[in-house]
Amino acid sequence: MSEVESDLPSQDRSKTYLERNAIILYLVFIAFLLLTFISKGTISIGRSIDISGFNVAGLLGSLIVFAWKFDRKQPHISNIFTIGLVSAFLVLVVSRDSANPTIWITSILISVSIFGLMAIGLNLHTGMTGMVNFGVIFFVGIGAVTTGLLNSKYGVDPWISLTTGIVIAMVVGYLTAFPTIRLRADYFAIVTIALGEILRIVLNVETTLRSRTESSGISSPGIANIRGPWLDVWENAFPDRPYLVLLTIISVSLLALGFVLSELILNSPFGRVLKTIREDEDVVQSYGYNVFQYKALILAIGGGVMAAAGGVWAWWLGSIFPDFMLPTSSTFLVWAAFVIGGKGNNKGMIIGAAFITYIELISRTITPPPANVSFRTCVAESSFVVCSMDVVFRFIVLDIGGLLFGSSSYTTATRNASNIHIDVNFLRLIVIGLIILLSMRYFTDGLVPEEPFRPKIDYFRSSTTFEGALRCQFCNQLNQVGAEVCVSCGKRIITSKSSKE
Amino acid sequence: MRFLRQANHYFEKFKGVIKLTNILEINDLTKRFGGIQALDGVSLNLNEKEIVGLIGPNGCGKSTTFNVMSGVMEGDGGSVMLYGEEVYGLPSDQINRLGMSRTYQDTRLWRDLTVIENLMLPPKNQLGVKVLNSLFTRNRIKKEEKEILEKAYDTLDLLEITHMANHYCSELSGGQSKLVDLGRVLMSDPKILLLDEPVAGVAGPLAEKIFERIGTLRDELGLSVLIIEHNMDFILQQGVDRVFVMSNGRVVVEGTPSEIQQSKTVIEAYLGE
Ligand SMILES: Nc1ncnc2c1ncn2[C@@H]1O[C@H](COP(=O)(O)OP(=O)(O)OP(=O)(O)O)[C@@H](O)[C@H]1O
Ligand SMILES: [Mg+2]
Repeated sequence: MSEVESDLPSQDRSKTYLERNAIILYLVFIAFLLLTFISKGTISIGRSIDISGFNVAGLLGSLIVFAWKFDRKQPHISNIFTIGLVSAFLVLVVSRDSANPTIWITSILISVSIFGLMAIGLNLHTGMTGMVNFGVIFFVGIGAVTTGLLNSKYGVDPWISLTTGIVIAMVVGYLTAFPTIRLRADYFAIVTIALGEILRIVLNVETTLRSRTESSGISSPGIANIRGPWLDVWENAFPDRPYLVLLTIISVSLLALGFVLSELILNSPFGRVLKTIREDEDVVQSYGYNVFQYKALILAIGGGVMAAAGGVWAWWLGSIFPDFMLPTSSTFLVWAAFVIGGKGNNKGMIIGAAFITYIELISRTITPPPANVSFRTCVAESSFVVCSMDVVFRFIVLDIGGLLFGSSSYTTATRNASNIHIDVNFLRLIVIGLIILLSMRYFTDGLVPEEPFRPKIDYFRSSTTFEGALRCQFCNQLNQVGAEVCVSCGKRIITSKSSKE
Repeated sequence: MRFLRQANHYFEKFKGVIKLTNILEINDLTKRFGGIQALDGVSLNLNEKEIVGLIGPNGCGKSTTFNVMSGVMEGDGGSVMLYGEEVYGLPSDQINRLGMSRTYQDTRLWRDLTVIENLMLPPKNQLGVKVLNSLFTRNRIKKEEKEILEKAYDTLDLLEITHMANHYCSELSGGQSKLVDLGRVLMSDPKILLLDEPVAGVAGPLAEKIFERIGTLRDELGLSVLIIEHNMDFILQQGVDRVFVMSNGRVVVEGTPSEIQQSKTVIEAYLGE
């Protein structure tokens, strides 16, 4: 090994090509973000979407190049990628034109926190331990109902209500392990679906556990006027600022707390047991670990995190209508965030939640373009770009969409285009489903995949005498013969052969 | 004092004369899979610091014996005495904690984790596997992790696969998987080691080295080893103390390698009736 070291060209030690490229790409990334600020409002897709189209395209482009070019399982690449994505998201949120920026920004941040917490809980259950949980909303519901009920009906302090909700969800999570422990992954998944649906249906019929609806007309005692924490304090101190600002701070802090907790668990020996259970639980058991206990514990912890999300949701909504538990507006979205973000990685959970929430909120406010636009009329228009985007958008929505999803044929769709009304709102789930499909096909590990455990060895191990191993000149890690890039640090290994050439 | 010394002297002398202590004894193990009687009353035993081979043709029930005696699979009857205690029917984690570790024929590594992480789970009595410890005693856990990491690297050195440490187990070749599996089971500090074809697919010289290494481990740590091996000629040359030969769910012959070599029953078992 020593001859390899002496052959090293010295100037190549500080920066490898991988790092250089990463920095260049990151700069491109930042440039696009800045462009978004500068061009704010001048370029837009469609009439009412005012995301700067060029920048979204550029952003996506550089993301795809980044993802394709670099090994996102290397810790530092993963961190660069995450920071890039988070800053891109924040810029997109801030730069969006909105009638009331405070409401828009706070609601998206609170929403991201709620979905982020849910996804982190799901990651504890499914990403780390391999227990497929389609009933995220079950734990969320427990948290929301307990927080709401205790506070609105009995006047308990919001924090105590939330804590109670979390504790109840943890106990229920622990107990869930008993009947389900011998079930295979798919049967466990079915049980969790059932749990979520049971709770939702109970809420539907049990009036004390939900807010009354206008149509019912009877004054029922249900859960309404839930007060968030420190509401009075805030209103006294800042009477002209909406309470949502404080709620945003609280929910983002809770998300951070959940993230830290989950990271501590993931990177500890306890987390290692969970990951091995995911891979092959029988073997873990035969190495002396009581698998049942670990599963029950993580069901409890993950359930607690999800319940926290539910509590914040209750504070945000102010009253509990059971339709927030509909699978299409909760479980489905959390799973989308989980898959897109990268199962097994907590950073990915937040990225995924941000991604899904953004698409969700944007698609709620989208309106279809007018039916009479065409390229010919666009020439006369002042903003040719916007207009032609409208044409393309219309073609996709009305013609292709009409052909695929509508009962009308292509010709009727084009001839009577002005008679067809498509509410893009309904395309939302199609779009999200499509994203899940594409992500599962092309990004099997998600945007920020799970990082493998590759500890640095900070001492030089000289005891290895066997042939056929290459020592990385940067981190001392041994690699297979013929390896070009170090498996541990991702830098290029300079062998005596390659440096002679 | 003098009396004590004398007693000790006699004790030492005695230990050489009497039979080695019988630490594992299996009696009449049975197991049925639908129409197949996989185990039909298997009985065998293992003494302290002994390396014992378990051989027999395909499908004669060797792996099933391991599965039942290690608690991984439920048996239909029989008894497993470990250090004089009945452990038959106990869950596999409890049996493991009594000092008996096993490997699997198809390795069953944790495939989507790295080799080094596979090796870091088995060590017993880790602080950090308790959830509260993992949150609140992080410094002590860091130290412990470092020790385990070092031990894991030593084990990999021993098996000559240090260069695969940071690879996913799913990226290993068949022989490499066998080596990592062996490393993993050695990491659990067993007193009794059950190895299911540990060198199947491992290149000849390394296979011999591994058997040599198992021998030194026995001498240094006082291990007792039960090895399933397919290749009869190979195991008879590796200096095992005794060999059990199985056929159709029963042990048909037991003896030293030289006895086995001459046994007619063994040849029959291998060639079929
Ligand atoms: N899980 C199972 N379900 C049904 N039958 C099984 C199962 N495991 C083993 N068997 C059957 O039990 C018998 C003994 O199998 P076992 O795996 O113990 O053989 P073996 O001696 O280890 O063979 P080999 O040398 O090929 O590994 C075989 O006939 C096999 O088909
Ligand atoms: Mg077998």
